[in-house]
Amino acid sequence: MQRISVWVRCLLACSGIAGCVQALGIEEAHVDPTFVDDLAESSALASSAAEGLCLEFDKGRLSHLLEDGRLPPLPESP
Amino acid sequence: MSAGSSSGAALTSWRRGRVPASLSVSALVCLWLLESSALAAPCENIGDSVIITGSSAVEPILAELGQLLSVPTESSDGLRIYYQGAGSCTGVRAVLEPATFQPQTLYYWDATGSRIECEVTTGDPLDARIGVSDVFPASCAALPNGLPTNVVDFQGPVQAMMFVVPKASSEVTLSAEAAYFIYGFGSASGLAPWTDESVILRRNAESGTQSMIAAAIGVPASRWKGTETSGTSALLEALLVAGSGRADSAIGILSAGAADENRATLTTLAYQDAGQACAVLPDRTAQSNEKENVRTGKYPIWGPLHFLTHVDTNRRPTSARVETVISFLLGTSAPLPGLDLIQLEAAQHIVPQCAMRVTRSYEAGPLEPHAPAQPCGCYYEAAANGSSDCEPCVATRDCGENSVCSYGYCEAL
Repeated sequence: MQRISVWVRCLLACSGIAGCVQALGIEEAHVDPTFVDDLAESSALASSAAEGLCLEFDKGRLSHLLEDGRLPPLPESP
Repeated sequence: MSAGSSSGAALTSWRRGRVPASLSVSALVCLWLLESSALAAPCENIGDSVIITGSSAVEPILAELGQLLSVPTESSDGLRIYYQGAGSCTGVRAVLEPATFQPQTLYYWDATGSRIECEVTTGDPLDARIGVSDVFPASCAALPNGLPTNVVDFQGPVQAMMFVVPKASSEVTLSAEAAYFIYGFGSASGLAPWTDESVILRRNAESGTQSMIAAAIGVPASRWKGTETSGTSALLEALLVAGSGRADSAIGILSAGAADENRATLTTLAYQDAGQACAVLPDRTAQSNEKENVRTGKYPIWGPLHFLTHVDTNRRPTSARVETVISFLLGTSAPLPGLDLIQLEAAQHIVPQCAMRVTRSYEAGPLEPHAPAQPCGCYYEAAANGSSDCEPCVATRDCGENSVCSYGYCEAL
């Protein structure tokens, strides 16, 4: 399940199937083809997003709020 | 029509300034008390009915189903559905902790579709019940060992939750990290323009909308900052007010149904999950309704509606009446004449399981592929958008390889 989750997140991150195979260091032959088919449409959309249709929240707006690049803990409840 | 409706009409006319001069204040108070005590007739035959409580998301569907089922047939005297709208977690508790369910009044729908309020009488049997929740039961109750063995969570259509801003706001996207700061820190978020807690609008920890988004952004529902609103209507009103003058600072949360029905005054923010490079809307565009990005898992804040009920050792509802109602709600029984569940769900901006390509087993949990036995994505899209690009068909032989004719359209397997 964890691998599927990582795979989906990878596809959603606009990198497409080939990008995911490379990024995750797995053999394409080891990817369940049914699963890839299921998400082929997502992948196609992700690819088009990578070509310039990707709406992105400006992470620069958050940089001064992060602590060592991480989210700070929530404030203590009153 | 409730027993008190005629006196209610009279009171209404008096409130319009036509109070007879001869009536004293004490007489008016007496009449008001009479009105209050005669608001509703007793709920009838409650022991032969089904009682549903919890999330209001399901109410429009219950209204249709309640009307159709209440009509007597040759084989049945009709089945009445009693309903009490409440928070999702109230629905969960009504089944997990039955003693907490003590309604004073309920609603039902008669054969004409009228919504009628009635009073519960002490001693009325309330056992045949379904608790409805927008969120997984574990979001409402500590369940380290899962649900008790005598309770099953039947999962129905999928609902998406959204961040919304007034139409006049210039914001169009939001990331999970940004939402963490806004709702985790409130006025101290440090994230302009969302630094005014009076217009950072939220619900409460009982709300399914807040609980589901809480799981997605990593801020527990009980620790949200911002201004609590009493319900969807109150939140919408507060956003509208903020829209004139403080539009950029204002933000709120809504279910897809409420957000989509108010597109003229609100903007749904495209949402970028942690690790996701793109922010995406639930739908293909800001104007469409097909929930494509929910159905494929690209938009992450969604979950199934949960119908909780007591079951026997075979995992079947202990009440046959409850089993009947749940089978209609899930679309697993033969459709009722006059009820097209998929059309109805599309009109309510929720997604039937047969239109989903992904599933998950806990709140904001990882996605798994979902291959419905009788897919309906194209039919749902046509119902939601008014048309579909899918190929119409009569039989599977009309469709290409690796596709099947389902609900009149060629669906990819």
